[in-house]
Amino acid sequence: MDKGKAVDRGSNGFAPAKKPTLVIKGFKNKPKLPDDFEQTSWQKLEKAVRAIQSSQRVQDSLEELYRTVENLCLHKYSETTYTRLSQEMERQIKSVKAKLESFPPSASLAFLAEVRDAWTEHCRQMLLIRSLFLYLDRTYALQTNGIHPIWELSVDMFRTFVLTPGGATLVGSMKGLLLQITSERNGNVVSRDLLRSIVQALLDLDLYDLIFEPELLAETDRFYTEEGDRLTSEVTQAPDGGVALSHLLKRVEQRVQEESNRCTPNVGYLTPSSRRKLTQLAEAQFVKRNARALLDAGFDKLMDAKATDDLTRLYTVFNRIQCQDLLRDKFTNYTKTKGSAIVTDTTRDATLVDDLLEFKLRIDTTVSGPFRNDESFVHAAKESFERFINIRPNKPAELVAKYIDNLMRQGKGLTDQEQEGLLDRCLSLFRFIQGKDVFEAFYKRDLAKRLLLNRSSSDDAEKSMLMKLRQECGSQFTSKLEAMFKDIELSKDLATAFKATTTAQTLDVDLSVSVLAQGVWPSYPKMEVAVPEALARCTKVFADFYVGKHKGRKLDWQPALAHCTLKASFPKATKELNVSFFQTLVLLLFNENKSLSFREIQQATRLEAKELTRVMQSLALGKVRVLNKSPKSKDVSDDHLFEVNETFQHELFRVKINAIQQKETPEEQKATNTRVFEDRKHVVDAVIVRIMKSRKTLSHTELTREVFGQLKFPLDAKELKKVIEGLIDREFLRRDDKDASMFVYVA
Amino acid sequence: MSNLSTKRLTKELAELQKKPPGGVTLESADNLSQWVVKVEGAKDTLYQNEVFWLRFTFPSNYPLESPEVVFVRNIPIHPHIYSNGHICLSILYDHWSPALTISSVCLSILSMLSSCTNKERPPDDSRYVAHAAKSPKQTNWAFHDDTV
Amino acid sequence: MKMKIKRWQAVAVWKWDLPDEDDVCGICRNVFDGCCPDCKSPGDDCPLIWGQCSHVFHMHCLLKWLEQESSRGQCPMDRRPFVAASA
Repeated sequence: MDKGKAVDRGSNGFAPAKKPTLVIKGFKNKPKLPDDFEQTSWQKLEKAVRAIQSSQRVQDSLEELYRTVENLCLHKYSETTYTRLSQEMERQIKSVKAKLESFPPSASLAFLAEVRDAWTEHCRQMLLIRSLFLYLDRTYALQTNGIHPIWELSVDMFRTFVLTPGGATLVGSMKGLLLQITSERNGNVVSRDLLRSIVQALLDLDLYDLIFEPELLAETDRFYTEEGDRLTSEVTQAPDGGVALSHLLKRVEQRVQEESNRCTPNVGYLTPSSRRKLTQLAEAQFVKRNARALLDAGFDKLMDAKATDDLTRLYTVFNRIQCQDLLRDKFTNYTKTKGSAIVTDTTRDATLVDDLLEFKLRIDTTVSGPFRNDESFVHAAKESFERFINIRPNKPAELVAKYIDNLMRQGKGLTDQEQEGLLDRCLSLFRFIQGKDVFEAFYKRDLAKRLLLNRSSSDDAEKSMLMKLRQECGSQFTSKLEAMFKDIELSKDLATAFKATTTAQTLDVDLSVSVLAQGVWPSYPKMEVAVPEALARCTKVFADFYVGKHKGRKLDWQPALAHCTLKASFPKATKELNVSFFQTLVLLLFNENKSLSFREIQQATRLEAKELTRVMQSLALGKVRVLNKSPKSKDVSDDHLFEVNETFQHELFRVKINAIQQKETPEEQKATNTRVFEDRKHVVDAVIVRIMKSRKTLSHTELTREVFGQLKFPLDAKELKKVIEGLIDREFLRRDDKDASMFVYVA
Repeated sequence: MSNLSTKRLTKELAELQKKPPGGVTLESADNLSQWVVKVEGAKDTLYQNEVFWLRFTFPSNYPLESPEVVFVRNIPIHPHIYSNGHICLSILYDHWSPALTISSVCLSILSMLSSCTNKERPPDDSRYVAHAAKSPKQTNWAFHDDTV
Repeated sequence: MKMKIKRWQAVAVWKWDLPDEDDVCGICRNVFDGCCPDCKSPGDDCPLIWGQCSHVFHMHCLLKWLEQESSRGQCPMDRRPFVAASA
């Protein structure tokens, strides 16, 4: 297309036009400035500058003045103009200086106002002047080394002549400013606008950071040191340091807020860059200098009073002043002291677990609340519990086990979830306890009673507890508990099968037997007892039935754990009595006898005296009295007489009087402990032999350390010594011939 | 090692340490696979005042399988004891029973010594020793003379 | 007054019926009231076995022995063929 067009153009018939010529000739006269150009121009400008400086109307239009500056600059009068202008500025600033210095040296508000006005006026003038001389500023002042742009020049002059570092005006202004700040800190209202302007002037003049702020901090330091010391002495001298400490903490918090507010743009008047320095000073002088004294005087009181808000303040402040370690040590100390007081007070055993649970909850909520789950505090709490709970060996473990037993027996009106939660909290205590074997022994004994006496409140709760224990104690412990549950299940099946036999149907007693495997259940002392003929026949029938099913076995009866339901016809009522087997044996005697002495009862039942005393007390001296005793005293002697309570009445049809079976006797308690200690001896034996076998020779100290490192229960050094002596006697170890403190393994 | 062998050897070890039978002393038991037991020749026998050492090596399924028992260091001269320490005694081989223990084996060997009337090596000693396997349990023993 | 037992919930511990309670199994040398070395709890899970020869063992122990070819099916105590007493 393009090509075609080009061809067309060449053949359109126009003749080419003749070329025009243009000739340029020089000026005949060179243009020349009037001789007084610079003079008249400056006069015009000077008039305008002076009008601005004296706040009068500028006669020439700003447009014209601007052009005048431009013309001067274009004709190379920039330097002259700059010099003339700076002379005008200096003259004016010197007059401001003279005016301010005519005030008597003072830090008064009026003086501050004068300074502010002088600066404000200076700024107003200089803004106008700079806009007139903008061309000069841009093309000359900004481009030339060694001279200031107009604005900076004016600031420099103001600093040189008016607010001179070290000069009376600046000193007075700063002093006035600091007086106002102190006055505000003392609770007075000050003119924040005025102060803000002065601070702004200092900032504009680059006087804030280097000259003013050091003074400000020094004054702040002085102020808070004084206030901090005063409040600290109030805390340390107060009868209740807690209240005073609380007051001080609130004061610090308030002071920090105030300083922060003072440094907030538009609201306060100091610069945000001063904020951290000021708040740190307040906290440091209030708290850090006296940290230990404050904690000693008030911390425990705040903890006792559960003063969550104050503790939160305390943690926040101590965290910021980096004294968490002090606070944590104090907290550790508090926890250990309070905790050991609970644990070691033997008069409080009845409520020990409740008290510990309450204390743990309090410590936990303090750590998670005020101490924000700070890891080092979490750890401190744990470590403290581990320490104090083991100050008293064995007893806490026993009491926790019994507490759980109590929970498992009676729902206590708790929902499943509440009970579950409480059990978890008990386990969290249990976790701290060294010597879990004591817990295990008591838990097992109590579980056995719950199962054999049908006292468990819920099967599900038992199962869930079993799961928890498996996690805590390992399956070696729980496998035995599981075997106990299994025995109970098997016994139920067995009872059903037995009842279906023809011989069982000939018995007039509905007999069912819990058959326990040996070694799984706690061991019970053998109790000899005389059983009436008719009952002995029942056990014989069952034993035959059982051995028929299980060849090679025999049954060992445990009468202490058996219980019965009796149909009892009193003259005034017929009742069903839930009684222990021993109670049954005693009561049956009264079918034949109206009155029996203790001695006679003992001869007939052959029950051991201590046990029989408990049985008789439960029947004649408890809440429910089936028998009457004479004399009516609480003690029981051989010749005391018992007879049926003919007037027996009770609001219920089924009456439970076998609570004594559930209750742990002192003998049982002792036996359980003794068994644990016996087991421990074997464990210590085995541990020592194992260590010595691999190490061959060890000093007493080294061996002690190794043994304590491996044992999971507390053992005192005296006990350990006994065990070692025993091993030497049995020739597992010998003392080194040369060094009696060295032990040698005897293979 | 099985539970059975570990637990049983541990029990036997404890018993040997606590109340070893007369004339038997455990000399070393560094592990549960090889022990050395010292036996003393009984009074009024040909071996009175002589001391010998038996080395027990336990298989992993002890006591279902017999231990290897040989004399070491000082080999008694006896018609059923070869000069390489191997002992021709049926309870150590075909007639082993798990009811036997280290103690009872030692006592059997002691009684074998005690009943000896003529201190001499077995007639085939040199031939046997030249060809015998390391462990006597690999020998096919022919027990013909239980009375010596 | 008249008392009559309606229900009796008795408790008994079962044991192996042995002449001497301290008897040990001839194979593992554990007491019979304990269990064989491979079991955790005594009782139903680790039963005993009586031979017609009246010797008794943990059943698990005896079975392990009888599995051995070298046992020739003999009782470890008397080396007579082991025949279990009928249940």
